[in-house]
Amino acid sequence: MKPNIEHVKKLVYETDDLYVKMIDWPYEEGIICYFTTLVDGGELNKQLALLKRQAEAKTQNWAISAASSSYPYTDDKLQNLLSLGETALIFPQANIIVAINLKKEQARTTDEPENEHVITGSHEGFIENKDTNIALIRKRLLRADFVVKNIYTGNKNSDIVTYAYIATVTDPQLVENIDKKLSAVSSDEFFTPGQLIEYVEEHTWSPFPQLLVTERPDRVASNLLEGRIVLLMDNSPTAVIGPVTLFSFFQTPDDFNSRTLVGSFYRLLRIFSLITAIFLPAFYVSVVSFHSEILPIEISKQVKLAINEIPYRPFLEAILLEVFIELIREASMRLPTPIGQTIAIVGGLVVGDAIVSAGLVSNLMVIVVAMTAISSFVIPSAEMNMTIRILRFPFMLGAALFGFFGMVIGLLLLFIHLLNLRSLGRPYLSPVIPFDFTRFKDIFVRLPFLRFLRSTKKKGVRE
Amino acid sequence: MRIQKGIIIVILTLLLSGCWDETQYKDLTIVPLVGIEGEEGDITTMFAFPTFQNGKIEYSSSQGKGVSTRAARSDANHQTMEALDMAHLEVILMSADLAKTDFAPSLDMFFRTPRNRITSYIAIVEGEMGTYFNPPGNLKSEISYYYPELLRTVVLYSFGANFTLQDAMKTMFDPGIDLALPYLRINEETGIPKVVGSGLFSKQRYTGVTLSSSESISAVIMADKLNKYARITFEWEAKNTQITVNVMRVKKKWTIGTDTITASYHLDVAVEEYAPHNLHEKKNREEAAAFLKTSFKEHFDAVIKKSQEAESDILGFGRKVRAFHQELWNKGDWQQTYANIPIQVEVDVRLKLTNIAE
Repeated sequence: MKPNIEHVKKLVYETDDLYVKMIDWPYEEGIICYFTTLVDGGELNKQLALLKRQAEAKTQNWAISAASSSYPYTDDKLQNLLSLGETALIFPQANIIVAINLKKEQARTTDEPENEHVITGSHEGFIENKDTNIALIRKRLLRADFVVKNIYTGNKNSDIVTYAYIATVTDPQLVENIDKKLSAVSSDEFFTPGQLIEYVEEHTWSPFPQLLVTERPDRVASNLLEGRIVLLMDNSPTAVIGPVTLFSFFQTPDDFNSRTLVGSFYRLLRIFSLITAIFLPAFYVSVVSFHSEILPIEISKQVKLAINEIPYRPFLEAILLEVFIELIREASMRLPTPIGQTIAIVGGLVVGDAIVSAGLVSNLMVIVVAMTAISSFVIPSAEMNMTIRILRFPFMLGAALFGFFGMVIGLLLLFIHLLNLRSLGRPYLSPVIPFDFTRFKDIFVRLPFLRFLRSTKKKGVRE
Repeated sequence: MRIQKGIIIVILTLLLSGCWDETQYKDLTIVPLVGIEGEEGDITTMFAFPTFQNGKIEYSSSQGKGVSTRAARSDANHQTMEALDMAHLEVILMSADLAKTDFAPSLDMFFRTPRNRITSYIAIVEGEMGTYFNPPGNLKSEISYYYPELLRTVVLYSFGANFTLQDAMKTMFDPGIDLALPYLRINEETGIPKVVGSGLFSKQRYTGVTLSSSESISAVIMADKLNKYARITFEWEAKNTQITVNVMRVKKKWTIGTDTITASYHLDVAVEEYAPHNLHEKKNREEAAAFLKTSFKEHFDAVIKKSQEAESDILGFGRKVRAFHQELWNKGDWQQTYANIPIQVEVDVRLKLTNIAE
């Protein structure tokens, strides 16, 4: 059946934002159709004039231009092109579609991402348009070996996942591995990077993020240079970086913009915050329910005074307050800023004070939980920060059951898990285990950049 | 099905087990001070501890009797609100009468439990233990604060050394060295407990002989166990003045012969107080050094004399003898040998600091 206007309308279930008209063309009549909501009409007119001139000149590939291409006509192809926002020019006699790609851009500006502020350095951030995002990366790399590959997932060939890497730096096996994994994905409803990550990562049930998520092009570019692969999706400002190690989550671009000593101090502080965020409440519970002998005599009286009249076990006390803090966090996160701040003040100050004077929780516990909460927010990655906050509950349970012994058992299990963890096939605890001294040095302190460059020259590119 | 079974087993294990060792801190009474008196088989133990009520710290004490220290503690436990916990013990006071008997088993309790501190100080008191727990004078502080701070000062100013529970027991059971513990007495004028010197032990018993406080410092200097300060004041009668020196460094050299011991000391001292103020002149310095030399020798000789009378080798000559001079060691009981062997003391003093800015 030859396509006509009625047929085209039926194909898109007679939606009202479809523009479909007959159009005069040299040699034969055509049908032009596009979604008015997705296509820029003014630009389209210019493109049509260009194509018409080419058609009149009777060149062989008159339909090919910078923004157009031609396909044999099928109903599926037409539906696909329309839904991707392209303009379809149908020639029923020749049975071809000329597709013109002139999407109307609905993009916000490339502002700095809300949750990844830096003090000095680039303030650009990814937006919901993938092409812009790739442009932001390319602008920073400016080299021919930066490769962008598209993979179509889903049955309708409409969802595109892009992965990018630097060909001369990245391990080809890694690229092949990613390609295989992404090609195997088949899902029609595939919207968020979170879903994408679940397809790519190996340990879905692990609490630890195995891929780094960022909205900063400078972070992506520096990771690419270190031999990692970046996954991008259309309509999402989030880039997914892998393979990563546990320690990648504790570094920020700010480290490299600050002085060596200062950067090192804050890097160490972050590692310390990791320890307090996981273990502090468990340590407190252990001490007051099992190992009070380790308290120095001077503080022991104050501790005793604080907890003497608390009706609950320290474990319940800790759970109560931890849950309370999580509630405040969760409540204030999605509220508009002014209300969020009010909640934080009411929750943190007013209720925190009242809960102590009511005798439900000791004031030491408030200090411990507050310190823990602050430590967990120091960790630069939002995902790792969540993980750490979840992790302290099992440790508290272990501490409440067996004291330090319980904590050690928990730590043992944690290490067994971390040692088994792989991020895209690479060990998660590298370079600590397996040990690599040249890279190990750079984890806990930030070494001067120049010296660092010299060492990489000798050892090859670091990963 | 297997998974369900597994989950049930895990939950049951968690609910039915665990918390064996739990000792909730809020259910314990921390005891910083213990007093032991009586004799083996009939021990009276006194405990001083803070109590916590309505957000206030108050101090209380409790007493128990029993055949051993542990039995006495159990007895005291029945008269105390919360369980008495020795994990924060700071000071053990022992009556001189108990110290004169075979008292080591009475201290066994403090070693038996791993959570107990063994770095608590141990000291001897003269007379009834009760008066030290309720001193007649006004301490202006609580006894459970007073004694630990007092004994910390003793260490800081080198009035005594090595009298933590751990060191004391180690020293006591070492055949080559004897123990000296701080000796407390109630000051008759003020009614406040005071460290009056060190009680000398021979083997595992207190001899009843005490060194005065200046002799105690001398003993610490002779054993080269100085802490931050070791101040000693001499009356310089020839010049009609006093001189106070702080010993900064001690070099000791013990030469042990077959039937005599020579202990030579080289002391570096700083002058802390000297009213004539003329030590910047070399002549005066030499004069002062010569005076200090004889004064120190007098003090040191007194220490040796007293310890020999008490058959108490507090300086530990026996260790060196045991290690390098077997023929002397094997002569018989070391404490007897020590009491009878002539010991020559030689002192050399060097004024390192005069604390005068010219």
